[in-house]
Amino acid sequence: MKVEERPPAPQPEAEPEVAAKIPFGQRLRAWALQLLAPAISLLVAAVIGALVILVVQQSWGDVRDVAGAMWSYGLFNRNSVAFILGRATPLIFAGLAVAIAFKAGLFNIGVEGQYAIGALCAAWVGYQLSAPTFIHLPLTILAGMLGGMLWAAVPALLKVYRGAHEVISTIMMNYVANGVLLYLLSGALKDPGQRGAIAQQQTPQVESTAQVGSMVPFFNSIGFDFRGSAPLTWFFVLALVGAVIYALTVRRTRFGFELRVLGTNPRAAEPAGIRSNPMILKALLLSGAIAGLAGLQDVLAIDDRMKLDYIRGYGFTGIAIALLGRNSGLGIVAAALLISFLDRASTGIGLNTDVPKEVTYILQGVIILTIVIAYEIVRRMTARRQLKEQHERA
Amino acid sequence: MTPSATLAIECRGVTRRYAGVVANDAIDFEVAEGEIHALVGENGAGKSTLMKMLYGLEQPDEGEILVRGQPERIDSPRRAIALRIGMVHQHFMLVDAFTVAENVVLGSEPSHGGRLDLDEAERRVGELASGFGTPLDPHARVEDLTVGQEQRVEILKLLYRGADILILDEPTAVLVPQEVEELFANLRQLKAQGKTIIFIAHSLDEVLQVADRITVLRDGKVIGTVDAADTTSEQVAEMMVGRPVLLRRVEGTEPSGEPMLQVKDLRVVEGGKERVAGLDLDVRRSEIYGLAGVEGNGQAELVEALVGLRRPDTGRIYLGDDELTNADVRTRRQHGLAYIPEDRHARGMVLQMLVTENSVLGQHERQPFSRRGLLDLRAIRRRAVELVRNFRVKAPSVLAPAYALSGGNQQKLVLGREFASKPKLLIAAHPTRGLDIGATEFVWRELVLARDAGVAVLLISANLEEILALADRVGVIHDGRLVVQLPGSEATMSELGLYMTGARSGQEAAS
Repeated sequence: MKVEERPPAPQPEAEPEVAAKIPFGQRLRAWALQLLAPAISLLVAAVIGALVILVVQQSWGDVRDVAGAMWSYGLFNRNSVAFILGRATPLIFAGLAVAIAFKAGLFNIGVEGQYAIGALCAAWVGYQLSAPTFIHLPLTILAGMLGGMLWAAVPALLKVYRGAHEVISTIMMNYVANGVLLYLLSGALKDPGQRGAIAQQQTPQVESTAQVGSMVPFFNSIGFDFRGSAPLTWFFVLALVGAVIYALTVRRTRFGFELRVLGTNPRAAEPAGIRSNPMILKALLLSGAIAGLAGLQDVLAIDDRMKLDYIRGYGFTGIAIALLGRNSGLGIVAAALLISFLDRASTGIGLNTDVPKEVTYILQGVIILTIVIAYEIVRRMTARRQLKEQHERA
Repeated sequence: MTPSATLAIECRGVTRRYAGVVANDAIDFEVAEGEIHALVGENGAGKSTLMKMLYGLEQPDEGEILVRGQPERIDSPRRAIALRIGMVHQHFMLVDAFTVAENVVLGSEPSHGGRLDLDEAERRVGELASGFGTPLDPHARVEDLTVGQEQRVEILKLLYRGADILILDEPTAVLVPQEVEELFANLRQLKAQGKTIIFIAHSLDEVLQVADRITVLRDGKVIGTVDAADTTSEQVAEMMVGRPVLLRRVEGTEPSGEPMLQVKDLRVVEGGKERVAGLDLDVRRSEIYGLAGVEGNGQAELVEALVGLRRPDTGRIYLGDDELTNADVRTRRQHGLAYIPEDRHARGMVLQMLVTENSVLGQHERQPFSRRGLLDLRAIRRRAVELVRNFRVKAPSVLAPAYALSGGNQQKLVLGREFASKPKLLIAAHPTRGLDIGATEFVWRELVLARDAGVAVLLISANLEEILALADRVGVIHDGRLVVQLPGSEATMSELGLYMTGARSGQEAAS
């Protein structure tokens, strides 16, 4: 029965390098390409951005001003680092949520609605319940994840049982989430403590036992000098941990393996014993749960309540971030920081130059396009070289 | 061929490179007018590139092509057609919903003041068709034709456009033996009418039957041109591969044992039609059971039901003593099923994933590859290295993506992976389709080794040479039914062909 017991295959001609790793030089080259691609695309994007300013403003001075503002304000203003890290936090979660679904070949466009519902659930648990922190806070965060998961469950079940395309149903769920939010915040969940014409549509404040602290004191203790109000909280650390767990899950677990097989070649998944429907369900629910984390920083650490002006577009930015970060944990963190930096720089442009700060949105768009193109070029180059090597071996 | 015969095609030092790879290296190639010239070689030897240059789909980087003695620049298929060169591609380019006549005239329709003159078209197509093989109704819709008839429509298209140099790309690959005979008769008839025919082929026996001369390519170079009359298939195979090749029947070392796979009264209904219609089958230990049949007679559905990709409508499937009729794929695999899918790119592997990952696909959930939900990357890599060594898979590294492997090496990897699962039953669907002689020889040897090691092998193939070379028992499936079952040593190609086409059926031979 043992096939291995056949007469041993001739060993000497089995290429020795097969057993070994890919040669170091070759790996270095691959890495360099992976890093060079985004670097070059940033440069190209900068040039295009400069051209746009030049065409619109017709002055070299403005180009210089914008570059100066982005550099000096965007990076070196007293609070910029705190803003960049803090604003990147929800974007990292949103990017991870999109990416995990994408690994299974699914487009979760509904992160927007999922984090809104998640935040609402968290806010409710946050102000309704009273318990010591070590119980209350985890429960609150869990509620946020469950809320996101619940919102993702609808499209997931529709897809598995009815074949409804997740793009359509997740987008629909965004609208429903918006409506639910309006309804509840102006009704059942509205803070009864406020009176009169200035009453806002928002929930009561969450208990202090469900709040997450600012990270500013920590940073200031290691030599930074951020203003106390800077939006940098311990959720940032949670986001980094999330990115690491994501990366390990995708690469090192059986679940991640099956996710990738299904996502890259669903037709090969089935004969390998990987059933697509349970995997789709798991992937979308997990995506929703991660999405549920995206809104929590605002509710539990910055506003300390759920407000109506809540829709912040993290979900859609998350799609761009997953794309820029190529669905890798590290890439998503880097992409979130980049987008967050551009956001911060736009404030600098608005304050210090005569150029409309919307120019950074143009820059964002161009960067996404150039990076996508650059990676495609790298992919083709690699594929061509591999083809060539294959022919040389043959 | 006398040297004085005029040449239809002459290539002088034709070279074609792709991104640094030399696909055709200083090719000298001559085809005389009025001969049938076969072009053979392994995958990647450069046959297709050469034909594409003759048909204007590619241009040579160096060298020149002479057509009927004149140097020509064939820069497009349009130019090729103007030079009366036509090509039938391996995959037919016909419009299913159109009639034979409509398909033939498509692109150069006879018209009457801007109005399509269908009557005229049908008359001319009928005329052409009548001088060529068995009658073909110009009014018939292409979707109702057999593959062999479709091929005839493709050839008619060329004749209609006045081609007298015909290039056929692997014309026999899609045909059953009887259709091959008919094709060859037609080719001889065309030759008698003075047409020149160049055809690309895999099967050497066929080449020797019909060709006047054979040119062998290997690694982009011409190895030689021989007269078919004074060569043997062994000689040509050796020219192709570069070493002697043995493709002949090897009897099992052990008698086949108790039934391992048992299928009882299996029915699969799809789109209102019974694809598998009450089929009984058993495959024993230490046995290769060859299931022959023309494609589309229920093999695909049968395999899907056996592997667990599809629920049968009735019937039972046993593996050993366990009933697995409704078990999912993973359960079946854990009970000892291994499966080499027909389309290895699509179903057998994930090309974008690494060789390591592909070498455990389908077994990844077992120890030692996974433990408590975590992958053991080291164990996975050990397995990959083992497969690459034992099955001589040419890979740049086990950490390279699977698409960096050639088709033959991908197949070896899939095969190796399935053998390595220590199966009780191996289902191999068309395991050598698209492989060249060297790789085919390897796959056959591995199947025989598995059989001799006690595995029950169910071999599904449309290639009768393969069935006859390997199978201990042969069954023919036609229209979802097993129409005959014979000992492999007693089956003959023509007999199986009759059952496959449905020309003969019913009487079960004792097995």
